Amino acid sequence: MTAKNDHMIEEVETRLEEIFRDVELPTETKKTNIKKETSDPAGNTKVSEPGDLKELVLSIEWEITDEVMSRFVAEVARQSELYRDDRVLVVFFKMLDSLGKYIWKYKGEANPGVVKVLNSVYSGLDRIITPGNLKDEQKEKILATELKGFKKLKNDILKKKPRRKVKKAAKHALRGPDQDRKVDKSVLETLKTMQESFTKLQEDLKAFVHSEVDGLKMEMKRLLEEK
Amino acid sequence: MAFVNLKKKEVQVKIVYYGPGRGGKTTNLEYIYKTYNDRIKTEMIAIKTQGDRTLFFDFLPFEMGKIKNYDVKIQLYTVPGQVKYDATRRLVLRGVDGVVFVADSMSVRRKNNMLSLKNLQDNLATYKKSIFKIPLVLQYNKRDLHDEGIPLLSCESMEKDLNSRLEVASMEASALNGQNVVETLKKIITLTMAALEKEFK
Repeated sequence: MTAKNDHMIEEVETRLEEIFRDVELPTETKKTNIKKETSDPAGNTKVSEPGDLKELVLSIEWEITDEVMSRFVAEVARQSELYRDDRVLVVFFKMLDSLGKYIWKYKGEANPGVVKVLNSVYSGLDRIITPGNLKDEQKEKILATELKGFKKLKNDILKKKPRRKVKKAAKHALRGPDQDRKVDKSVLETLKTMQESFTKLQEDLKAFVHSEVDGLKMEMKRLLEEK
Repeated sequence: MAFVNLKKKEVQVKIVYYGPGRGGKTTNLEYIYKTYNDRIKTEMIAIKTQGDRTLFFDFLPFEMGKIKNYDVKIQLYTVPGQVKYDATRRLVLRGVDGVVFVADSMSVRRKNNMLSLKNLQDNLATYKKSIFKIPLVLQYNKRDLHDEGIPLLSCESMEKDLNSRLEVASMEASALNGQNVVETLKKIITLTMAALEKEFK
């Protein structure tokens, strides 16, 4: 690059035009579905407010708070009531309700895959609610896919539970007969919480150190290449 | 500063997409990669956590071809937006030539945008770079969520929050459907190349 390159920027712009020409979508391609409608068996049009639910799903992804979870569960219940005559939608809302209540109860300690399943179930619901030409068979296919994911998550969660029970039983067996059970229980709870926090912290640190080391390696590689 | 290899007549330009977590930085790169892969012929590298969050960074290099006899290679990076990965963000910013700040238009993310921009300023300062001098484009992402009934910050409000002192180029966007993704990229490349040309003069 020298001072002689007076028209370099023009050349850059031209090159960029060449690389990114045509394929770019026009700005008008934005989604236009402001409200999504569906009909009940009597033919009355119901207007859903998916935005409320979507906003809450996005909020859960970001941070799980009592306020968000309480709004989510209430909104699911409200919409579930609205679509109570639609068998497929009712199943979707049942899944959302279970997932919401589970996340609310376990918050940060919930299964790490739960938010992904929540997103997926919501997306499935959104596809079905969106007015279009989806046939009943297609709707049921979407439902079946989401149910599969939901059941897989449920099994994963259930698989982990017995281990906790075993641990608890082991702790119980180790407890001396003369110890005060009330004190013991609270101490065990504290220890359990500490142990879980420590394990989580350990895992996070491990993952973080790994990632940082990988990054440093790449950065070093880049530096060596530069030299 | 960009890496210039006089012998090979090659220039490497590093552009970093910065911003709060879940703002759409990776989606910007994914859109570019998916839409123009045939043309830019490259691979995108993304390291994600189980929850689909960026763990380290995403990396999308591509070649612009010859400009004034120099092979110009653009390297696009994203940083992890989550607060806890600050060391990683600093590392990715090393040697940065231009920054796209991807702000989240959702009303609930207003504070996160401002904190992330401040974080960018602080992290650039560790490399003795000023946020007021580095080529920078602000992208107000997720404008499509308005159609879904989700409360968004107005662009005026975002300008006031983020751009009142910087006074840099800014544009509305929807990385998910590609609106202004390429415009943002073109803008930052042009600004960065202009800054580099000035620097090398």
